[in-house]
Amino acid sequence: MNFVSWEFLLLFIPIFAIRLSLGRGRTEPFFLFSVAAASTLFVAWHIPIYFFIMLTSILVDYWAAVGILALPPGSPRRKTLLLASLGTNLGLLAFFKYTNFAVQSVEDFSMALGFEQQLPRLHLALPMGISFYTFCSMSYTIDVYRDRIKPCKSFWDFYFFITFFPHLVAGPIIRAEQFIYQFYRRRRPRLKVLNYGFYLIIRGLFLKMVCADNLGERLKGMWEASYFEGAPCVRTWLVVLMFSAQIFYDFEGYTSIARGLAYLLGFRFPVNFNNPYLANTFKNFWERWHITLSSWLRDYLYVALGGNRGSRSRTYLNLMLVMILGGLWHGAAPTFVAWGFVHGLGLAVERLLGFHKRQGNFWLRTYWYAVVQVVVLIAWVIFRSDSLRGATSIVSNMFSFQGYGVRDQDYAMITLLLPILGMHIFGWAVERRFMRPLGPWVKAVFTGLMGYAILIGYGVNNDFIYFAF
Amino acid sequence: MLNQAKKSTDKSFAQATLAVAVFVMCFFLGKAFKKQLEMDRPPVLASLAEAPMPGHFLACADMNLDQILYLYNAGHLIDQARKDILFLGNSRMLFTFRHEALELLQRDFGLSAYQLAIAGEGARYTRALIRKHDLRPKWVFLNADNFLIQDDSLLGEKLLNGSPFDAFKLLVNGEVSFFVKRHLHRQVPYLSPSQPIGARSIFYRSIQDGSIQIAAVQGKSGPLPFDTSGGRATKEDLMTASLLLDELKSRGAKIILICIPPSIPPLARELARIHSLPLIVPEVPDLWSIDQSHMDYYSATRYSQAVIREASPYLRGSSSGFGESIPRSGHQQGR
Repeated sequence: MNFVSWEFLLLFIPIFAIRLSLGRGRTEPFFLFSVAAASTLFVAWHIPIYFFIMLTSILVDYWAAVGILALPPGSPRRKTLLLASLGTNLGLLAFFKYTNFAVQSVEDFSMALGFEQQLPRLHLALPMGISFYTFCSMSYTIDVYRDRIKPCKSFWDFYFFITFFPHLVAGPIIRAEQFIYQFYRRRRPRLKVLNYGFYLIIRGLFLKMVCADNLGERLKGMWEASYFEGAPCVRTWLVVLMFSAQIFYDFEGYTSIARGLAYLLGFRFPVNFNNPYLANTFKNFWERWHITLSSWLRDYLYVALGGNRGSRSRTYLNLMLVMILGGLWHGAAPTFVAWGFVHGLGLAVERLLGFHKRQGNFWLRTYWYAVVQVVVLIAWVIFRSDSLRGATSIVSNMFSFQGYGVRDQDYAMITLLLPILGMHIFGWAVERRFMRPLGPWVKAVFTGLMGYAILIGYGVNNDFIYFAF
Repeated sequence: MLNQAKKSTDKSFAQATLAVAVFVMCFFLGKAFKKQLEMDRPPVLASLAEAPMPGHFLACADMNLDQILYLYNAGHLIDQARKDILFLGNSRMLFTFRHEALELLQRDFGLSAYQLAIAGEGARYTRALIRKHDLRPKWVFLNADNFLIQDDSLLGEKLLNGSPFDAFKLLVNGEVSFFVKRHLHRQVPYLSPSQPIGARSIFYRSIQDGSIQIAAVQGKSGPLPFDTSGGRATKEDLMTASLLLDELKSRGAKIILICIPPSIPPLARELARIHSLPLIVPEVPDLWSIDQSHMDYYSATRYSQAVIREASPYLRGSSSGFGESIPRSGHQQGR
């Protein structure tokens, strides 16, 4: 179920009404039950039978955590239970997401060795949100194993945590310690919180429906044209900038809606984006882009591999590996692996040069900022392209320095880059304390303006980009 | 402390009121200056759509809702199609053979007729419909153009490979979107920079006979161009096109091939020759289109009457033998 759809509105309105009327004091359990029921419906809406896949993951992880807690520390069976949990989640992810990729890889390898073979392929839709909820669920079991948290008091608490619909499909990837304690807090609906929730929702809808969808519609044809050898350099750069804006609008828009919905229901989600195109190092980029994924990879993969506690070369290898796996998480295609590789390489080189510490004189920092942002753009080209060859084509057009090619109808699209520019300039000013963050009165005005802008400027509805992951 | 809490609530209430006030102000300003803001942009088609006549359902807004309704026989729609004559094809068939043509067949020949052409869809979908609902018409008027060889549309593929639940979701979204856009954009201008261009239409269909009621159409009207382009039909095209013909024959239907301007491809003649079917392409001058592709009401009436006139020997059973190709009666050249 898409947040930008009528059926979602029909689902959310009664839940919100229950929240306002009943979601307090002794009627809280009924409210939580209603949200859990709505979340179940949300999950099953895509392909009903896939609900059981999620339920499998929930059951295995819940009982694994209970078992881990019941066993004495140091018991080898604790690790067995943890591996069972990880195996189930990664197994489900691998089966649905990577089977065809593995089959294709085997076929390509066989072809390279000189014998052709055609292996059967899986024709199953990807369960909605599987990449997100498996990571959510795994983090819970790992944290219990590491004694960072206690398991949930009841199965229904854990069920609620995993299935809670605002974060289900495309994050943020919530940790149990960030969320479960919120069940037991008093949660009176306060107008201040509701205002903020509505502001986030309207902001998210504006970014998605007006900015991302309009850019996406125009980009379809423009991106294809950029594959051709000799495509004009300036127009190719414009196309790449448009995609980097589109993916930001799309994902930040989704996260904003998710956070707003959570606020309206009395829960708080972490921030997932923080003006990523202000990042002046690769490390900083990943502290600003998809923050919950990068912190998950850091805490559960990078640290497990040894982090930066080993030798320098081991650290660089760990960075590369984590980012390649991060790329693979996005999708089973060589382009995603390459995208992860580029970021991993950037992180490793930056650490080698010592630039990750963001020290040095102004010109050096500015130079490295430019390098980081250009590499990020090139990485987006790889991310979006159908193939590595296509990506290479676009990148060579970008650096051909030949041809202008911007058409009249493209100038209208340039106006859609203004919001991202404004957001980042304002964000930079706030970080430097030249300006204060937006106050509630200004947010109220923006809410009204953006609300109307949605009605007059919505684009053709495209699915959220990250729904595909 | 209570005072502070009350002040905070009052402030929050004022902020919420401000947001609503800004929105309402924008709404009324937008409504007042709607024409100036939209300038020469085409309006949202849904906002121009007239209401359906009694006994009609929404068939096509941003997508073909009739495809979903027919496939799943919602409201027993497809049961209405169990008539003597079926019109099969794409939007050209749909826009040409309207209610009056179907009434003419009933009046003059005593044959009930149903318009089952699906806009933008290929023959595979039609074949699936016929099989699923076991339709067995006595006669089929079939438009013999790229309808017979084109691939399924994205929607068609989704519906044929998906579940009833998926279809239900698409249907609900389609109907609600149309309803909202129709009312919203009568008050609110639409200024999206990526607004799609080109001919589009919104139409309803009669529950009784499937005929079209055009609610709104976008495109430039003008003389209907003729297109006899296309080389000789390939073997693959003929095999693909023959699939629907064979299906209909196996159900005992007698087929009359029609070509509807602007599309008069060589494929039609080849099929008529191979299957020994009549091919009717009457000479009707001064045809006018609503969007360079579909006939307007008067042209459709004249053309459909001409087709029925030329088909009457077959319908009355007075032709020397069904299955003999009649010479193509000709068409406008090079307009």
